[in-house]
Amino acid sequence: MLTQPFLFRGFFTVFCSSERFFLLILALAVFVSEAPCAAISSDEAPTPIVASENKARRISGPYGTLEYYPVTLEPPESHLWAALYEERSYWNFGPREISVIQSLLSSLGILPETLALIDREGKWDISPRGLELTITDAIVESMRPEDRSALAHWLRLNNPTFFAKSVINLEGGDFGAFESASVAPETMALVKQVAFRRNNVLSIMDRAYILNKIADQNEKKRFIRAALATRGLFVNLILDETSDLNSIISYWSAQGRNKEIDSFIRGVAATSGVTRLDLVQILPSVPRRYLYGYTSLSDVGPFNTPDCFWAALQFFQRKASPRLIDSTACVQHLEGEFQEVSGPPEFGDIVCMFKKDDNSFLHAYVHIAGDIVFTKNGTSFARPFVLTEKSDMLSVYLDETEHVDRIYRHKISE
Amino acid sequence: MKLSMWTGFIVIKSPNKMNSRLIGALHFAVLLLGLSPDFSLAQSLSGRDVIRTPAGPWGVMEYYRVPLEAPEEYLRLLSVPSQRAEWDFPVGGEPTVRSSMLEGGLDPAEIDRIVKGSSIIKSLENTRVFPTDETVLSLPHASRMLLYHLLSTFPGNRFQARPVYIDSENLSAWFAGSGMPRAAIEDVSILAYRTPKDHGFFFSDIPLLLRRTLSSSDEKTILKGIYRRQGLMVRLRFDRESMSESLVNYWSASYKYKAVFPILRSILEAREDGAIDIAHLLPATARQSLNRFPDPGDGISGRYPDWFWTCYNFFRFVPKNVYADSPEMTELLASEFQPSLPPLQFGDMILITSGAKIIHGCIHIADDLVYTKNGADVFSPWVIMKLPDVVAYHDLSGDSTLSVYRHLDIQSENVP
Repeated sequence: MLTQPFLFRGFFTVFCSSERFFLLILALAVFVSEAPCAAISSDEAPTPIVASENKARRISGPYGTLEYYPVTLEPPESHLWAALYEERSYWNFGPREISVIQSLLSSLGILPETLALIDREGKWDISPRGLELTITDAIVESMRPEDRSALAHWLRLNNPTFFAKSVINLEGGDFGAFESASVAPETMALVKQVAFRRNNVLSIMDRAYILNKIADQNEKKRFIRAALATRGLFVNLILDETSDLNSIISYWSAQGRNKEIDSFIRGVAATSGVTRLDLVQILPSVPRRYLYGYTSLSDVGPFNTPDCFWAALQFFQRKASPRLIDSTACVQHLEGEFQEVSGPPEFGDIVCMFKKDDNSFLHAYVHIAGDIVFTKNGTSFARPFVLTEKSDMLSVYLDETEHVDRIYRHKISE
Repeated sequence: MKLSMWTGFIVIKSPNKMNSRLIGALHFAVLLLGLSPDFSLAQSLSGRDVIRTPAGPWGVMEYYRVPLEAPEEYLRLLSVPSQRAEWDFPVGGEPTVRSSMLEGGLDPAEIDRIVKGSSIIKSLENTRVFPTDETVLSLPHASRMLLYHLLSTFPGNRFQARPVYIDSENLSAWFAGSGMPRAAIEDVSILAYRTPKDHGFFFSDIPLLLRRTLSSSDEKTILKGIYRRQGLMVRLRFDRESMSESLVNYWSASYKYKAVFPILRSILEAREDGAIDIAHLLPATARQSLNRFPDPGDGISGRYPDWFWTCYNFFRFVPKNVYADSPEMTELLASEFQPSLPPLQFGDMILITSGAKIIHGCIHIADDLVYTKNGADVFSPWVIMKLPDVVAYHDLSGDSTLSVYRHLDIQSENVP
């Protein structure tokens, strides 16, 4: 999504140039959701665990033959901070009256038993952040997936900051990251218990409840890291006797936008015993720098952090430009340096997704080859720059929002 | 030295001559580093084959050589040298030429032959010697080594001061795919000479090579081939058994923006025979530049990155423009690094010193593989090389010693 400057503006003057500023930015940015929320089909149960087939897959085209397999990327320790481990379960409704919210909860279809529990055990507070309802474990446990889904939908529309802070979309739309991180069966059961769907997007919003139930500190870390895990791809270009080197080099050179790969690819192809070249060696400078890495504070501005658009615009640049963290500059850059094209996307093309209803910007990614894309989902510090399958990327975007795609190609310098 | 033709390949067949004092010194330095002391060319990359390292705390790595061609537009920036070989000596004319060569260790009879086979122009600034092709081509290998080393100490002899380094006897493999005419490769096989470390070869006679071309197109092809560089493509191989805590810790050193373990674990989940390109394990700035030539934009501040820039910024996310001759270089070395001893860690800075001067520095990756940028020019890419090759590349005098510096923040596992 496009960056959201308003998130940081109020805090900058207070925290600028202090370590707390970094922590605050991390705390806020990590929760900026990747996807707008929409209502879900309420009778859809969370997806059961499906073991990954864990086999490399191959696709072929003008780009040659690519072999790829999934990897799970977890945020490094430096990107996990104390606030993530908060164990107080609460909902924030913004500047609203208790009576209004009580009516709202009833209108969302939440069961009378749960509403009664809220009346008995819930604790209302009016904080500077708005009306908050601290909820007990019993309230959490009484919620059905459809209750969570309806509440999340309302929060997204009416209190997006709290929505972004509390709702975590599980990449890939399944629980694979928790399996990969080897969380305890009890933890997995808790995750499944509180997970809910919003169309194709699988989410949790009861992080605090789960943490409260986990006694072991390391298990808490495993849970948090798995919840924030991102699915990426390791991609190899196959270079064997059947490879059409001229065609392959032509594709990955992107009409001269991607330099220095000709002799390199031919050299690898000529090496006996070598049939695979990792795509990281072919990618241009900026995606090579950021691939599978997480946002550095060095790239963060007072009002913005790198996001999908930032990552996409700089794909062919030698160095990432701090200028492009300004959202206005991004639009100017797109209009000046790129041209909209029709037909299928080529290597390095930016695909921009716009909402069908109001033509507002939804997401941008870079087309690599076949179904493989380069993307950074949202502004979150916990989301890395990845090569991934388009379907996995869309797993956190395809709620009920309809979108149209437009393809932009970098103009070739004279 | 003569051309050796073996199953169609052009190979440098050099005399089995080795300066035991120099080799001894190098072996000592390498032993100090805890690296393999085997510097023989039998270990070098004779062709484009995959070589596997012994197992270590880093796991097992395999690597192979890849050619790196500078962008075409860079070649257009080159001023093509004169086709006439020219050797610059100090002011003084023929007597100075003769005395210099004598001090350089050349045989008097050989000196006489060289002088007689050359035109000499004496000026107020220097003495220029223009040898005939025959004189250059017929120089015995030992004389060429001595003479070119001598010339490298006088200003004006740019080809001897920074000769082309060739790490392989197999020139056919070295130039494969470059389009170099066979005749030119044959000339190189005659004119290449052993490095002072007796590890790999130097080649300095680019003017003569150009002189023997038949077209400007050939000239361009030759320059392209000569300025082509070689880097190593390196992969870490691991499996469930070898993926120990020590392996993960080795490659996780100082990482801040990437969690290495989940990546390695995911690879093993996908493939039993885990392998990962070493680029994924390098910090962001190093990964961005690996196997790439500097961009003109890299020099926009007036300087292109050199070895110190490369070493100092290895772990830094935002590079700082400091260079080997920056006034603050010594202070940075003293305040942010400390001398260290083997076993080397990922990211250690290895300094190569000749006499009292640091002539180069590179970054230890694993085994004897280092991350290096061998010059501050646009024709020097960031590459992974074997340490003995880097030493041989830079050590024109054969007296180099090595020392190791470790970033202080790595020791406390808190790199900025």
